[in-house]
Amino acid sequence: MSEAQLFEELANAVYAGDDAKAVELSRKVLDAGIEPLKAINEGLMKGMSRVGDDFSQLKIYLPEVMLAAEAMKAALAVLEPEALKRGKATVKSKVVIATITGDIHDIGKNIVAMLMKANGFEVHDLGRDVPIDELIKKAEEVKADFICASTLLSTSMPYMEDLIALLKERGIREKYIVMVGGGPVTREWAASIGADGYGDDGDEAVKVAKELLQRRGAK
Amino acid sequence: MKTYRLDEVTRRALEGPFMDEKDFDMKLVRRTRELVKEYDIRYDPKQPVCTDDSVADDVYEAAMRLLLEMGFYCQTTKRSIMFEEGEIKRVLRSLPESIVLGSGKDALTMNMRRVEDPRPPVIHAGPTGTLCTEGEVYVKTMRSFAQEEVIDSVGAGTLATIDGFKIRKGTPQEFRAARLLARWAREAISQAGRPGMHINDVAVVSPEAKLCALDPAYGLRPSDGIIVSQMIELKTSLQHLSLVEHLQSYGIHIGNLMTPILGGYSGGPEGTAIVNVAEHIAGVLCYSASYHYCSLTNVKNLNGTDRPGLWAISMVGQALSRNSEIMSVYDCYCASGPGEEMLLLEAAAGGVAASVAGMNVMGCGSCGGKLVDHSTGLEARMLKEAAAAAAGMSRADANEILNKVLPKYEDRLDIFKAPKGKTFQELYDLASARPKAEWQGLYDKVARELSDLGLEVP
Repeated sequence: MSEAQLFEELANAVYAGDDAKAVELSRKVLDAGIEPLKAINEGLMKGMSRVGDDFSQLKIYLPEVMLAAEAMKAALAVLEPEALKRGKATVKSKVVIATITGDIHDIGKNIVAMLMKANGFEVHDLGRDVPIDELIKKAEEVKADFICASTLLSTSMPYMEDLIALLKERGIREKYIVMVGGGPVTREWAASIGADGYGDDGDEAVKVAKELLQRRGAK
Repeated sequence: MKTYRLDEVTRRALEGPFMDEKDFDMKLVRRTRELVKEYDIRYDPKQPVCTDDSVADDVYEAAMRLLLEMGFYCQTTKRSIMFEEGEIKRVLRSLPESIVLGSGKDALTMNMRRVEDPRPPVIHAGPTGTLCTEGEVYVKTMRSFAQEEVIDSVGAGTLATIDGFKIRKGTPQEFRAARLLARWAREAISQAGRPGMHINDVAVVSPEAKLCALDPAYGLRPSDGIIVSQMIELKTSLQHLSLVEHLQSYGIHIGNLMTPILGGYSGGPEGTAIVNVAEHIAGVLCYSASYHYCSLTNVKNLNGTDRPGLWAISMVGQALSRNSEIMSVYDCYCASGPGEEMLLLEAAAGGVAASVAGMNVMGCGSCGGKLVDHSTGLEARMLKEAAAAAAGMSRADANEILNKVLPKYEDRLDIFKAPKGKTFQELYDLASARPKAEWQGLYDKVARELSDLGLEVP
């Protein structure tokens, strides 16, 4: 099997959520002496990108995304340590994400976290009903690039304003890209509270995150 | 009796099998996919309402198996509340075929409807999932529902502020909002001359805040209702069970609110139907609910009026109507907003699909719940009238109508494309809480067009 074929098969295994196949192919990559980072980028990421595209058009649903993410995780467990050994691992942008205070709805946040992970971000998911100071504490601890807050409830939206206010109060607002989203949250409202980004859905959230990162890098 | 069952439910929540929540979700994902395959349940976009009884029975059977295997997950204890088949069947056999909602001259009977039932459904109306302005505007919004003759019950509006305060969960303002939401709903039905009308909820988030609405003099009475939510999918918490404990002692109706997400953990319409039927049964067992709100939304477009959404809800309705006495209420979530023809068409389609499937109805939600005051009584009237017009209709005839109505809006269901319409204040005369000529005219036009298609909407 050529390198290109192997990468295509890897992408297909991720897309199909076939973790056994993804692991088997990852081992073949290493046995063939192929650069693991290249296999991650041109095989696994390509498969996951197809998953993201098809999910955004609802050609597939969340279970397929979850199974693909599992397959990718299994393959990464084989490829990543070797890439690290070779000093070729990429530096990942770090995201701290949570469903904010007062809200225990987390499926939207879980989708965003999963898609961000699949797109190469290092995601620290703090769960749901997370106080704003804990989000900030974790972001400081891991030296995050992003703080992402989600809610389905209008009664938790004010806590997103509080998050930005507390970052300003502590003089660390500029250290972070703050993104918000969730059922009742709108683009206009996100802008009105001074958030840097907003996504109508997981797919848009990832695109916006990448754009914001590029813009920050360009500064 | 039902309260004593809650002791057993609590014991199981404390002693049932422990499982990390992510593992529960993944198990549900995998098992649901397997059951869809095993029963060969297939969504057919050409038939928004499935006409094959055996599919409905398969969905019911698969749901029962799913619940028996997965249990009802308690987020507080991270344990599954498990059941045995015999005890589930015993509880289901004890359910009534009808219940009385409201009081005095305004009391009405809500029946367990069957597939293609000729009896019109009951509508629980209100700005479901929609933010409203506090005070007089809220009262008038609720009155706009209550004074529509065909509407049977009101409730469920959400406030952004109370006395100018932004409402945060778990604050004094949330508790005050619960009290005032109940008072304002009562004021609205009094203004409409229907003081005993059933009020179906106050939409605050904290279970403990909901208790502030219980007040025989000015708030919710035992003849009214309160919603107890499930979490997505097939989950509860000790906090929610605690709310059930007090609501039962007060004697008020309990509404089991389920918010299944089509495209979420359950997958497509087939899996969503299976999981949601299981959630209905869990709501009977653990919440002792009088009725059950099926508030399905699409994972991307936040509505339940697209083709797979209608297939899923009507499948849930048929599965329950053919196999149980569980009263399911289709909660109609629309992508578009008031003042738009599209909203009336979405409501009509939802009403038809739910009605022939043996459900009652609730609504309407609009604009994915993102816009304030985008809710009026007129779209709820359309939901009820369309559902009533479809009562007694065959599923095949319903499909013929739906296949003419759906193409009128389904290409605009994307949350970006759906027309957002106007606010209640723009569309209604605030003094009388009656629709202005523009909105009423649009209703009349759509009603005529639907009648031409064979759906006699007055």
